[in-house]
Amino acid sequence: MSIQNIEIFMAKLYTDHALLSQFLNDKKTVARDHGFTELECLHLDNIDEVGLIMAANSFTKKRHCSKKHEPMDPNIINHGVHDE
Amino acid sequence: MAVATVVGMVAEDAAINQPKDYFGLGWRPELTAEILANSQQIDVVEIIAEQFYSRKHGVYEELKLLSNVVYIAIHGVSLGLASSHSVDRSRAAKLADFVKKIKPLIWSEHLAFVRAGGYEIGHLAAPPWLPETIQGAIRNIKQITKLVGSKPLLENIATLVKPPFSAISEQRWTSEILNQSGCNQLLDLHNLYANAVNFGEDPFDYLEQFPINKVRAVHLSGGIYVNEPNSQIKSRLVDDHKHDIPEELYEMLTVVGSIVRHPVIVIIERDGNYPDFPILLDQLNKARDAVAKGRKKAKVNL
Repeated sequence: MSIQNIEIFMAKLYTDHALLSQFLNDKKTVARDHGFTELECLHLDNIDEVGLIMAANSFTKKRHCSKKHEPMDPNIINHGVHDE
Repeated sequence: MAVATVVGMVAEDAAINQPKDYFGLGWRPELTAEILANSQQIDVVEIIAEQFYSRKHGVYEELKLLSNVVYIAIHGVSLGLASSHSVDRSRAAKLADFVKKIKPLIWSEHLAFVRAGGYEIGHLAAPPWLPETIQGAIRNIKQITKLVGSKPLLENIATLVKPPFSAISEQRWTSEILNQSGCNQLLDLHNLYANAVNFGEDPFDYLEQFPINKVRAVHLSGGIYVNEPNSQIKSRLVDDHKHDIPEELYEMLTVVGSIVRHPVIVIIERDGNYPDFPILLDQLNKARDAVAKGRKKAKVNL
């Protein structure tokens, strides 16, 4: 499996909850379906499940909150400028 | 503050030319009024570039006004430099244009990937720590450096899962990217601390394996221990920027101050659950003391 496809697979796990759920139920089968070799499937079978779930949840939350910060209010800036 | 010394400063290695360490805060709308009212105690504010792209009018005038008060550092969060996939050209061009217009003290991005194959992760993910992602990062850094005209500082990220297929340590992977790209580091101490805790390692040992001599800027923040899924075990530390800085981070900052022989820029990041502003100023002063302690201990004179 190329490194590019590994990154795509990880991005899918982080963004597709149905796929993540399937993967957690049967990691080797899902990995095989995505073209990983037997050795790579074994490696993925040992992934830190807790960390993976928490990371995926954290990314989902971030996607939902991505509009959180708004730029500054120019009126406040003008009011606050001082010389030194 | 001598504004003229800031405006027009070239970002690359700007920190090297500064005679002293700088301390500041991440710019957040919730903190605007207090930052401006207390600007004499704040050397620098770090703005997130992507938050300004959608503004059509007045952005540069506003930031110019801001630069009359404090130094500006620019922080990018969406390039995804540490990837075997190429950086999105449109995003790279936007950041380059923004940095060129603002002329910040420094600019920085993350050693992370944020998308692949059309899937937008929405935040900073750790790629496998492999030679292939090092080479991808080098290509992307070269591209963005050419567009911007100066090298970014590169920030380490927090990751809740050790990236699968990794063959080398985070520190070695980071060192290789810094060495091969010629870039310096923005060391996020809480990201480092969270990774060490979550991977079951000692944070100070974890720190010492990083190329500390390449640190030009530091991020400080806090996080929270959270329950594992379907469990009451609070075993994982999440870097949420909504809690106070752990005491250990000040000690780690002292270590950094004792090792680096050049000025550093220290930024406190706070993204919510804001304390009263004097508490943030106290934290800035604690950071100043921590660096000074390291400088004194190692007899470092800037």
